[in-house]
Amino acid sequence: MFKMSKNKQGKKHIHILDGMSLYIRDKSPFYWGYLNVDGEIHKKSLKTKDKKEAEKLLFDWKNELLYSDSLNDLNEKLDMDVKDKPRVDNTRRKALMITSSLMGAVTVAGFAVPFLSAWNPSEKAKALGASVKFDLSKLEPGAMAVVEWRRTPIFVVHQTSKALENLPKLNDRVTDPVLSEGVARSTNDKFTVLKGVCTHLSCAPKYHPEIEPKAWDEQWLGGFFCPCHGSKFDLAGRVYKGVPAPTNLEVPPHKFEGDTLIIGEPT
Amino acid sequence: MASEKSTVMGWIDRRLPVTENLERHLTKHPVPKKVNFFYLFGALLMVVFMIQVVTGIWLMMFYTNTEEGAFASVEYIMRDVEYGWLMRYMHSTGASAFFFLMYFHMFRGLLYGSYQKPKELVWLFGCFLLFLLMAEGFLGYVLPWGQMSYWAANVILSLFGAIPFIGPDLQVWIQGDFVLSGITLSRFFALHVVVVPLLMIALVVFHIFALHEVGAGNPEGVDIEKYRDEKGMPLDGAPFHPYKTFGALPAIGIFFIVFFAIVFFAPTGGGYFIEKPNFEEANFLKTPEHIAPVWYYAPFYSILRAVTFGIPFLGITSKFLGFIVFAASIAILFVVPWLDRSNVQSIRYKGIYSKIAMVLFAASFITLGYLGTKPVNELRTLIAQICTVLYFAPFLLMPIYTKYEKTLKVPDRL
Ligand code: FES
Repeated sequence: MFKMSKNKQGKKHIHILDGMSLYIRDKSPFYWGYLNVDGEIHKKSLKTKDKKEAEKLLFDWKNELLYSDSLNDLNEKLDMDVKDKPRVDNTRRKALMITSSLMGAVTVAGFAVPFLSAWNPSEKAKALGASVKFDLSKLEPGAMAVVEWRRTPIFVVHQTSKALENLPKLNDRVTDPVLSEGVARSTNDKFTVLKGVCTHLSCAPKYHPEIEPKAWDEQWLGGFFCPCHGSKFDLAGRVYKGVPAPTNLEVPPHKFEGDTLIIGEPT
Repeated sequence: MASEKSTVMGWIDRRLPVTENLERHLTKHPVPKKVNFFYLFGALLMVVFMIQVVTGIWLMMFYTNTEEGAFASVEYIMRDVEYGWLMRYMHSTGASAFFFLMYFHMFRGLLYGSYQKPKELVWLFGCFLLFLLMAEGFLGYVLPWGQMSYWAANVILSLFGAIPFIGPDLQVWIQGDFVLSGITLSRFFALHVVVVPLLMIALVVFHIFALHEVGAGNPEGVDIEKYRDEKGMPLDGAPFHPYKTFGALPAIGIFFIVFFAIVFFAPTGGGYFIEKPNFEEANFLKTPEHIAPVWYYAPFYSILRAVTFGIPFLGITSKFLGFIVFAASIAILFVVPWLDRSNVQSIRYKGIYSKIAMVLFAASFITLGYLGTKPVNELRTLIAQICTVLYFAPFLLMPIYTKYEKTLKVPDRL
């Protein structure tokens, strides 16, 4: 693989690449390295008797010379740059930098306002989000109506007396009994108004008013079951313990005016 | 040098160094002589990216980005536009292919230490690309305005709503409405076709330039830059063209065969690429019985669902904690370069713990992916929780095991 030749001085030369070779000196047991880097000649003992090892060291040495030289050059140049430059007043320069970057930041922020605000609900979207009315007189006890408000299904439940009796029994099976909100979590204790959006990940819980054992609960006393990840709520929308939904079904702002329910306006 | 030639190319080169840059970044760029098929995924990703851009532009010519029109326009593309079905199925299959290749490409990176010094930036740009790809896929999935588009988007947007204090307002701001509506749809359209693709192109450029600065890796983890011939060409390297270009051709051919087999014969991928409920128009008042993500999000969705508990005394709900863990599962990839303390790059020379860790990571990722497409029950939740731990453990323990395990000596040359 390598060319072996004896030159005039009687040294054995092993050619590796152009400008790179190993050689052996008469009085030294080690391999010596010869490098020609951009016309500069370097020689040194590689302190090893193993040819493979010597070859590797030679490559390392070459890299070292190549890279360290260019680094030194660069540093020298940089030093020169600094020395040659006339002394400047850095405080004024700094002050200028700071003020201009501050002004830049203010400008950017100013421009950002309209662009970010454009993402807010438009007037039209806000108008569509206005309140809705619902006639309660036709809702039978035990039935549930779904009213759309802000495109959210709103559950309006007409509680039966049986359900109202059962609700307190569930107080220790739910995470947050909210006794302060009243038995049916409603101001009139007959109608419960809930957002039909699971508080876990926004699915629509299904209305299951029957009092009977269910696949998800042996002692089901009626309520809502969310099919997505199995959250359970009672008829007042209170969440059971140990299900993914963290909180009770939300009660949307609403008020009663005689037989009319107004959703979207606080009491 | 090309620039001295009195040809047209020479004329251009004197004004814009086209040849020089082509040679530097493409034709003469040295790549390791010996790599395996794992190293083809990068090239294939470029191919898929181009498929997505071209088919995407054509789809955009027929698509309507309004609540009333979106679903109908997709049906119109499928039924009335000549080869419209092909464009759409190429685009949807392209999305799956994009993720498939991306996951392998990144797993290759993990196996062969393609993130180690000095390749940290290459890896970071790549992680950021994964993040953008996930965003892009999510935004794109909303556009057909099918049932699954709508409800899956609801699930994801409600995650923002779970952030304490600012959450609800943030969600309304992102949606531009009190609910997910057509307003949201049009802004997602703008993000999907302009903003994210532009960012992705920029990052791909950074990714490749950074890679060419530090040099591509190889399965042995040998540094090929060390030994160069007198022209500065690494002894263990070969110019990209023709060695790798022709090497990649058969792979691209095979990829196209598989790709079009799916496009023609199984474009919905059995409900894993395009889900059944998405052939029904979005209905605000009817949640599908079972909301499952497309396969490529399934592992992360599983992680999200596996968190069934919060930290009550810190006011952190289980939903928000789920969001944090889910975000962390992607964020942790970004810091891998600083977690690995090993003195070797490739798994081939790392110790037994690294090998176990990679197997555990891959196994948990696949299991999570499977679970993510299934409805939950107690057992599945438990398995998902275990797998979530196994997903994170290889990374979190990395600083320890990579430091103390015994590694093999890496050879000097390929
Ligand atoms: S969305 Fe209802 S349980 Fe998850």
